[in-house]
Amino acid sequence: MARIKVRNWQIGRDMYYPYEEVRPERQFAAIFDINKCIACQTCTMACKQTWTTGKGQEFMFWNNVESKPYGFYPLAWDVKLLELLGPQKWEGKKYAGKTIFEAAPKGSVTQGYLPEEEDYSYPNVGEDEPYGEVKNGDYITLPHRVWHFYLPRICNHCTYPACLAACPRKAIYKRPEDGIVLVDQSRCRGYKECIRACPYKKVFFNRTTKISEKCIGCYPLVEKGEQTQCIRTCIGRIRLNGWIHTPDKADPSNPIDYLVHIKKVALPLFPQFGLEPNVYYIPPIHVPIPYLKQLFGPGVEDAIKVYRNAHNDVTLLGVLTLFGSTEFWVSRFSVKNGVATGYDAKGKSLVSVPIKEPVYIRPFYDEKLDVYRHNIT
Amino acid sequence: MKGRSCRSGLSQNFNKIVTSLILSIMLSLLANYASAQGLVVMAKKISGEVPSDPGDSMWRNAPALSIPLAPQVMAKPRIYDSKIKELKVRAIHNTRDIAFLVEWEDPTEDASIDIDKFSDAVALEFPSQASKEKPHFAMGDRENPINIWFWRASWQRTDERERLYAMVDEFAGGLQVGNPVSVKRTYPVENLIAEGFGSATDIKKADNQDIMAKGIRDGKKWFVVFKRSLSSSDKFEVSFKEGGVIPVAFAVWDGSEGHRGGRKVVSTWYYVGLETEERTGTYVYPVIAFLVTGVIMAVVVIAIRKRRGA
Repeated sequence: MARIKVRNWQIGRDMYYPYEEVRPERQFAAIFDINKCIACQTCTMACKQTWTTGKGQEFMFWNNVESKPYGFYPLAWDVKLLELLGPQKWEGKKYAGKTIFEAAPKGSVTQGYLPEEEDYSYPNVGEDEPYGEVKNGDYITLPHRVWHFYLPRICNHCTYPACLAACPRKAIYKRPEDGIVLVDQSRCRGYKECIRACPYKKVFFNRTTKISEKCIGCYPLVEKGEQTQCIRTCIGRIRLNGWIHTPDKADPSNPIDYLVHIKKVALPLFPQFGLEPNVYYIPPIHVPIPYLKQLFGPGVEDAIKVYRNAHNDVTLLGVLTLFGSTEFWVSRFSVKNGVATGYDAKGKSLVSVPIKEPVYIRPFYDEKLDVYRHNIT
Repeated sequence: MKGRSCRSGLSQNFNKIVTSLILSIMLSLLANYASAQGLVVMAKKISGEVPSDPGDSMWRNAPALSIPLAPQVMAKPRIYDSKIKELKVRAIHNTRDIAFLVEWEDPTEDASIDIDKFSDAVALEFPSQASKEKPHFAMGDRENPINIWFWRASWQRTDERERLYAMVDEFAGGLQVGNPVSVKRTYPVENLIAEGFGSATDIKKADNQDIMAKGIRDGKKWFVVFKRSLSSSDKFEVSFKEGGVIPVAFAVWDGSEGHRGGRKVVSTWYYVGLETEERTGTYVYPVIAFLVTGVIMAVVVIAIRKRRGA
C-alpha cells in the first residue's frame, strides 16, 4: 500500500497516509463545549433511539458521554492506544512523534488494537469518578481539589480516517459533498480492520449482521440543512454543527472557523493520532494542563485563556450563544448590538439570540388571573 | 553367452517377469509422483454419486495431494507467520458432479465471530471462464477474474444459542441490504468472484446456492467437502470437463490467529485433472505386485530345487 505525504494542519506538518489528500467540497464539523456538559446523556439516547435500536446494536453507542479520566467506552480505548504508541513529543505546535499511520506495525496500515466484546458492556464505567482523593474534612474550594469532566464523543468524520485507510475492501468512504464517513453496508465483509484501526473506537461490530456500523453524521438531516440528532437535542446547548475549512481558507463569519481557526478556542481530540478529526472541543478550564495537552494538543493553554476572557469578547460570546439555539445548520453568523444571528448557506436568517437575556419582572400577585407567582423573573 | 541365454525357457520367462515387475513398479511410482510431490490432484472418476460427506469412505480411494501454504505477504493487511503450514486435497467426479475434500491441521476450533474472534475458513480458487489467460494466483486480476469457493466454520455453527434480544426493532442494515455475510445461508459456503485484492464479490444469493459444502472436526483437523456440478454456464464461475486440467489454488484462515480477509495462508496455482476412465489402478497395482512377487518367489524356489536335484 502506498505511503503518500499529506498535509495535516492539526499537527503542523506533513504525514504519511495510504491515500492522497482529497478534501471534500465541504467538511462536516462540530464543536462541543466541555465546560457545559453535564453528562445527562440526552444526546446518547437521541442517537440510540434514532439509529441503533436494532438487534445486534444493544451495546452500540454511536454517541456516548464518558467521565474523564476514568471513564471509557469501550474500556480503556484511549490509554490502550497511548500505551501502544509509547511516549511521543510535540515541538511547539508541531508534532514530533509518530501518528498511528507512521507507527503501524509490519503488515498493518495503522497502529491499533481490537477491543474485546466485554469492553463495550459498561458504557458508563468510571462515571463521576474524580482524580484525586477527597480527604476527611475537605471542603469545596475553587478550583476544586479533585477533578473530573465529561467527554461527549461521536465519530470525528476525520479528514484522514483510519477506518477508511485500513479497510482492504474499500467499503468505507468519505462523502465528497460533506466529508461524512460511511461504511457501505453491502460491501463490508466484517473483517474488523476498521474497528482495530479507529483510535477513537467509533466503528462498531454488529454481531447480528456480522459487519461494521458507525455514526452516519445524521446525513439525512445534514442534507436538509439541519444539525444532527445529538447536537440539536443537547439540553445543555454545548454543541454546534457546521462546516470547517483549512486554516488558510478560514472564514471569520463561519462559526466553526471562527472558534477553531480565529479564536483557537476549540481543539481536536488526540490530534497526535494523525487523523485530523473534525469534532472540536472547548477544553475544561479546571483540569490540569498536562492531562489536557495529552488529549487536545499544545493549544490548550491559549484556548483556556481565550475562554476565560469570553466575557470581554462580544463576538465570541455571540457565537457561543448560538450553540443549541436552532436545529438548522448555521453556515454564517453575525453579532450586532448584543444580538447574535445565525444564517443558512443562502444568507437567510435562521435565528437571532440576545447575548444577555433581558430581565422581565412580573408582579408577585397577578390580579387578572388571581394567582400568586412563585417565580417572578 | 548365446548358449546361456538359450539354455532354458524358464530363465527367459524369469527375465520377462522381472521386466514387467520393474515396469509396473515404475508406473505406480510415476502415478504416485504426480499426487505425492507433483502439481496435479487427479479427480477420481466413479460411476455413482460423488460423496458429500467428509467422512465418506470413498475418499480413501482418491489420491491425495499435499500442498504447502505460506502467509499472504503481497497486500496489506498481511501476516508473516502462521501455525498452518499445509493442507491435503482429494477430488472425485462422476462426469456430472465434482467434489473436493480438503483437510488441514488446526488445533483450535474457531467458529465464533465476536468482536475480537474470528472463524476458521478455507477457500478453493479457480480461474473463471471469463479469464483470458491464467490469472494471478493471488485473487486474480482485472482481465482474468477468478472464482472462489469459500467455506467458513461460523456459517455452519449449530451450537450457538439464539440470543435473547433486548431489542425488538427489526432495523439491521446488513440484513436489509442483503449483505451476503449477514444473511442466513443454505450451505456454509460462498460463491465469490474476484479481480484482485479487496474485490471478492458474492455472485449467488444465499438461498440459491449451487455449491454445497460441509466441514467436520476430527481430532485436531478440519475436513471440508465442497461439491458442485461439473459444468457451469455462468462465465464468472469455473467449469470442469472430463479429461481436462484446471488450475486450483488454496487459502486457509485460522481464527485463533486472527486471520480474516488478507490475513491468511495461501498456495500458488496447482492443478486438478479429471480422470477419463474409472481407473482401478490405484488399488489393483499393489495386488498385482503382491501376486507377481509370489510367483517370482515360487519360480525361484522351483529353480533352486531343480538345480539341487540336477
